[in-house]
Amino acid sequence: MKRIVVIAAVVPVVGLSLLVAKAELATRTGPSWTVPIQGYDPRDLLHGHYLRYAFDFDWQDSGTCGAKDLPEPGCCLCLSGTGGAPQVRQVTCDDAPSCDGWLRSDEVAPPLRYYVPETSALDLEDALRDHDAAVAFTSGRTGGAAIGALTLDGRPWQEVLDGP
Amino acid sequence: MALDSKTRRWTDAGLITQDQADAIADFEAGRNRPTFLYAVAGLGGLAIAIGLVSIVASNWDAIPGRLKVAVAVALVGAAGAGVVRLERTGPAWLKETLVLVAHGLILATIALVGQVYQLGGQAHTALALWLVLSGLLLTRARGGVAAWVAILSVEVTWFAWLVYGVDDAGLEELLGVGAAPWIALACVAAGRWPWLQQARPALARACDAAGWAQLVFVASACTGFFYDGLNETELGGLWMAAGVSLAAAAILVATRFQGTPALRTGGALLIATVALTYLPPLLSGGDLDLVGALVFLALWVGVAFAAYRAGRLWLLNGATAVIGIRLLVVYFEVFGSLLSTGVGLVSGGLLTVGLAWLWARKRQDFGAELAQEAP
Repeated sequence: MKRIVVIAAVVPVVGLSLLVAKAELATRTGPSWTVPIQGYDPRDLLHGHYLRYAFDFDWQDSGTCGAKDLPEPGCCLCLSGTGGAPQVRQVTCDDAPSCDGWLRSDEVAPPLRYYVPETSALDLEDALRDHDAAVAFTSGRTGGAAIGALTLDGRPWQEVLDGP
Repeated sequence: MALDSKTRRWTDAGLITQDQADAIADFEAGRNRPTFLYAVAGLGGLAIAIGLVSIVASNWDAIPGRLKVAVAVALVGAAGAGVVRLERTGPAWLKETLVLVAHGLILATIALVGQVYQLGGQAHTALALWLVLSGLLLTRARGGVAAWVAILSVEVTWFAWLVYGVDDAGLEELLGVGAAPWIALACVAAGRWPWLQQARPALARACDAAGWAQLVFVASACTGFFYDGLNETELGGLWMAAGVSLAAAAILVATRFQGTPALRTGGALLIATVALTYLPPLLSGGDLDLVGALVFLALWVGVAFAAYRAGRLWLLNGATAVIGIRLLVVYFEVFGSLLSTGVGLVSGGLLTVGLAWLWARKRQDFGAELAQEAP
């Protein structure tokens, strides 16, 4: 009986630690990109604690799956380039692993959420209208996107809000 | 002191002797706890907790995300360690509290990881992970509160998955809606599972109560479809859900509701609630107000009868009260236009008084009968 209690106490800690480790690993493995974003609904950028946004990809014509410029479930995004904003084609997921980086389309189908502190929400909403916003992400080996920093005019958003 | 005045009143009325009154006073004095000490210690602990929460909250944004996650995981570990220790040494109430604290912390930590790492996942996956990580810990609790929290957690997760299935995974909408009561049937099944009744009686009781409450509530609400039909042509998903539910209910009745008249009545009521959940939306085209009212009344007569057979007076009283109120509603539905007249008001008032009299009289009769039948 004692062993079950110990297992019951250990399982949550191990599970949460694995969740954190997976998230940490995702941000450290695979190519990183920084892509401009747009508010999903320009009249209502911030929704409570999070910004609702869509990636503004540099779409290319030579896609082989779904629409040219809209992520569609079942397709994958082929990312080309060497960091920064990639050129993007929507292709079948069988073709995607040969790209410089790739994402499952449903991973980046809008609206996406970027969590921000509630106390900064109003200032950030104003700043998003006045600056070019971009979000960094790492494309993992299984087509997942580990979302990184939100930048305004290439600077961390906190820095833009704090200083001149 | 309240007890002194009560024992004096009982002694004066000849219900107990002075010796018995003294014995009661001695017994209760022996059970006295240092309430003032507990209160002061509790207030002190609460003040410290509120202070800590305030400090953390006011600096929340300044705390690095990874530090917040690390502290949250450490708190989950500390709560779990406390449960392990208290499982052996007690007190049981503190162990129960720590299980619930850990249960809440695990969900909060999953949400925190999602925010810090911008995981952008959906609620149903977070809730499922919560149950996976917290489920075994919840089984260590034995109290009623933890049982209800566990049931609520499972049900919230079930409904989140149904919403995900309908909204995002292509599950047919009416099949998703029709599958909602399955969790109530699962609760009743769990509540009647002998192993669970033996190992975790509080959880079994809570499962049984939660399942029945939902089944009767949903069946009552679905009589509304006699008033306004569903007006859907593609009912395949709902028929499928109804078939699964009726089959499950039949198996449940055959295996768990046999042997005594009370159990057989409960089994019949189970089939009736499941049937009334699905048949009105499936078969009614609406505008059958009287049928809706009569079916509602019949359902609650069934509930009252099952409560009577099971010897549950409080449930019997509640069911008969619902029947009385529904009769009043029927009166207003049928003769609503008369309410602006004196005749309508008088007859409505007479009906109300009559029902109240009948209810008061019959509940006394039932109470007396149940008291006689009690072992």
